[in-house]
Amino acid sequence: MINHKLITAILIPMLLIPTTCFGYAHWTGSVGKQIKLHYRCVEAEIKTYKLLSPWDDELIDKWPSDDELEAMHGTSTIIFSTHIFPGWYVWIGFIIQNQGALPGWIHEPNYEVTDSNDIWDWFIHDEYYYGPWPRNDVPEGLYEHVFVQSANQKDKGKPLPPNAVDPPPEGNVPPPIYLESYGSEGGEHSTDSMIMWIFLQLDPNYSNEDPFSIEISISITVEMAAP
Amino acid sequence: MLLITLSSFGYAQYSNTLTAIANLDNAEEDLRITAYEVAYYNGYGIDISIADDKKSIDIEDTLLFPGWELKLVVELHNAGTAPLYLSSEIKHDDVTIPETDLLDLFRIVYTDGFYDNAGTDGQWFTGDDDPFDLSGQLWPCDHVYKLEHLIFDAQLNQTELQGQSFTFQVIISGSASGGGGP
Repeated sequence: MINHKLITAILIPMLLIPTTCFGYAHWTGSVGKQIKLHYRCVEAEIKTYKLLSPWDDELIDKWPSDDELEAMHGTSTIIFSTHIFPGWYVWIGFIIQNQGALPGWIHEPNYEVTDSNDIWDWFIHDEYYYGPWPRNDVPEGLYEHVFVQSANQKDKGKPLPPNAVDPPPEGNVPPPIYLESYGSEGGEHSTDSMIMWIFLQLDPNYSNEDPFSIEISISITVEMAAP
Repeated sequence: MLLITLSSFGYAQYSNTLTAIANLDNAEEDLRITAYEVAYYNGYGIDISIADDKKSIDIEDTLLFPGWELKLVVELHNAGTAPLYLSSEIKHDDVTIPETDLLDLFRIVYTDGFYDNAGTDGQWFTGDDDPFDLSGQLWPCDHVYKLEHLIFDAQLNQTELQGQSFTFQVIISGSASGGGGP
């Protein structure tokens, strides 16, 4: 008898649970309102870049390579390494494109160094800004045709193309540069691209012959343009 | 029951940064003499040796005579990481002298030059040797050849040179600097 009472006491709540749920489902209702917000962004990328130096190509290791960058369709970071000496210099050229949904300002780059040998003070740097234009309208004379003659004696007999331009090309403008958001309207592509040339040199008068190593991080900030 | 759900599926991004990172180390200048070849010699015996550090080559002949001649090819290798502008100078008693002084002092007619290769015929001193452009640099890991041509131009009646010995040095330098700026 005690067992039957116990079983009954357990079964009754078990029967009540689905009954209650069934009733609740039929006699109550809910209204849901879901709001989704999508923040747009400013997103610039390096579409292509050049390292021009009398000691370029064979003597400068760089990432990404031209092929890698083409496959990546752009990058936010480039890395290069080489051995340098007093007077060494490089021209770093970029085509920067805003691929975001918001317009942005390209500002002057910041330089941060890891410099255990205190040689940063012996570096000279300068920056030149050009643009903006739609990506396909970037003038070739300000980027594609810019060259530096190689110092390799094997290349001395190879003249530069007749339309070659020495860096920095003429026509630079002061920063910041306003880049429109990526896209097109009425068949016209937005003016979302610009060129930047950066000159970096170890002072020819640097005379210390001790070994050194330095990492220079050049950061170009792209800031959303307020509406 | 009312339910309002606020959600987002995008991250706010008001700025982004493009970065160029340069890892730069000092370049090492290290020009070495790696080999030599006697292209022509008409003497009685010559000692040529490259020093262990490959920084110098000694050439000694104790039996010079009028008409004595040596054509020597010295191979230079850029074993460092710096591209090098090449130059050479002649020193006697630690004083730099012009090539023409060798004739005045020792009756030695001396000519030299830097060359990339022996030309189409593959033979040195045949007129088609391919000269090295000294306005350019020797790249790391590359070779260049220095040709040395010496003729003892004494006359039989110049007896004052008999029994004498003399020494001169040819200093070959390689320097990364000198290319200038933009």
